[in-house]
Amino acid sequence: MKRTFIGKSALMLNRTFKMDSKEFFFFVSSVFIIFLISDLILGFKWFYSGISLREDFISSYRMVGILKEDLSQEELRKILNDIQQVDGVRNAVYLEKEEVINFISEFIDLQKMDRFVPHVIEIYIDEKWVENLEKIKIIEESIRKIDGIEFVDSARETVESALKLIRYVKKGGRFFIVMLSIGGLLIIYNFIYLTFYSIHKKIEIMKFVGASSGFIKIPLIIRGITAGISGSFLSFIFMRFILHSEVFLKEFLYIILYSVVAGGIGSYLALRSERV
Amino acid sequence: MIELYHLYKYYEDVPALEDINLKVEKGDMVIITGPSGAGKTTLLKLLFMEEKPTKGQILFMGQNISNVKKNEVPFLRRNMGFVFQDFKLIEEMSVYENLSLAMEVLWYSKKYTDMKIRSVLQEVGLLHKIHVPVKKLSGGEQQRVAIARSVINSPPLLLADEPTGNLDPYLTEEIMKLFKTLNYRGTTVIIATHNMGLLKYARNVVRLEKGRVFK
Repeated sequence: MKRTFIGKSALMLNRTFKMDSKEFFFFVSSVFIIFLISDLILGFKWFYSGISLREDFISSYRMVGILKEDLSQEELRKILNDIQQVDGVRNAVYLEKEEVINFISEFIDLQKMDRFVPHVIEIYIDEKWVENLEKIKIIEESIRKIDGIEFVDSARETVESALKLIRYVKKGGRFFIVMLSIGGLLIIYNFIYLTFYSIHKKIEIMKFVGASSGFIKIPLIIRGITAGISGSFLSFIFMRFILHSEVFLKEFLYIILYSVVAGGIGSYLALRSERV
Repeated sequence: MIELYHLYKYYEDVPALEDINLKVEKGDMVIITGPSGAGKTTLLKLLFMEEKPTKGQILFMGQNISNVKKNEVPFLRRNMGFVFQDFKLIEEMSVYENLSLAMEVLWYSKKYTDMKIRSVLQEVGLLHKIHVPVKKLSGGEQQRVAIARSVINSPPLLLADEPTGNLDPYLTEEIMKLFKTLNYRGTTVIIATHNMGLLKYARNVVRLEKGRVFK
């Protein structure tokens, strides 16, 4: 007379996915909304991770050393060798005069320059030390002590400001993703609430005929989670195979998890508002 | 079957029911009557656990239901049927689907559900409309479907709030005869109505006025 476990599961599945036209419309709309929000989050993350400000800055950072006049080739080799021995220095390169002229001419009108072109060495620092301003100072002082070096510029203040700015940009990006995720969650919740409101008479009747809370809730929560999975899966397909963006398993899992949580919590909260 | 002791219900400071003491025996057919605003619907809502009393006790089949936990309500409701003035049917669904909903919540098998639906529709004379969408039925037919749904699980108690409020006199008589038949078969029936013409169907009458039992 009563249903078996399989019979109960079949009934719950039937109740989850058997929808009238109004419910189907709202379900499809929920999937679409989740798809849009997931795409927005994935798209922003993709764009944001594409801007590798910190890495670009660190890999392109270098100190500049100005050498004393009239150095022999032997002395120059020794200086380069001494600089490379300094702890934290990755490489040191002597710039040919043409390179220096090309470099300087970007900033100074050479016609107005009354002194001759200096001998310049570019000093590349280990990437792991670039963010450590104290270490840069130590490297700078060690190089300054080398015989034949007239002046060293590490642009520490500029590095400090640039790194600070990059940190703010990173934090801002993270904050934007978090806000977008929370905003998305609220939109998804509101949409699921509308979906349930459209069937609130049905829910009320089920309560009148003695349906337990679980009997009403479970299929609707599963429906919300299904909408979440479907929306995020579609957004992954869209980003990966239509926009050819670099969305990988990690982002996919993140967005699936987000959508499942959004769908599940959205459904649960919407049902609480319906006092189920 | 039902015992009410010093039952009070206030909406904020406005009294809806005051000091109600009442006993309804098993197999009784009680009509609660009185003018609009007398508290008839409030009393049924308290019996159906849709609302909680401000003060007092309600015993249903020996169990105090006046302060029952929310998660126990559905299980207690399975011992009651409720008929509303506006039928509360899902209009887009067929007669069969509306009735099967009441069977599904109790996890009855499909075979048993089919059998019960046919049997109860036979009783209310609507077997030939089993697959018709509810919205295509007349008011009287819809109310008969609502009654069929309320008794399909054979509850010992049937509550009805103005069940004939939307029906013409001919259909009213038809529906009341149906309640009478159910009562003869052992179901305790409590009907709230302001229609004095229905009192002839009652075994007992309770008259409410301004939230109190009028003696």
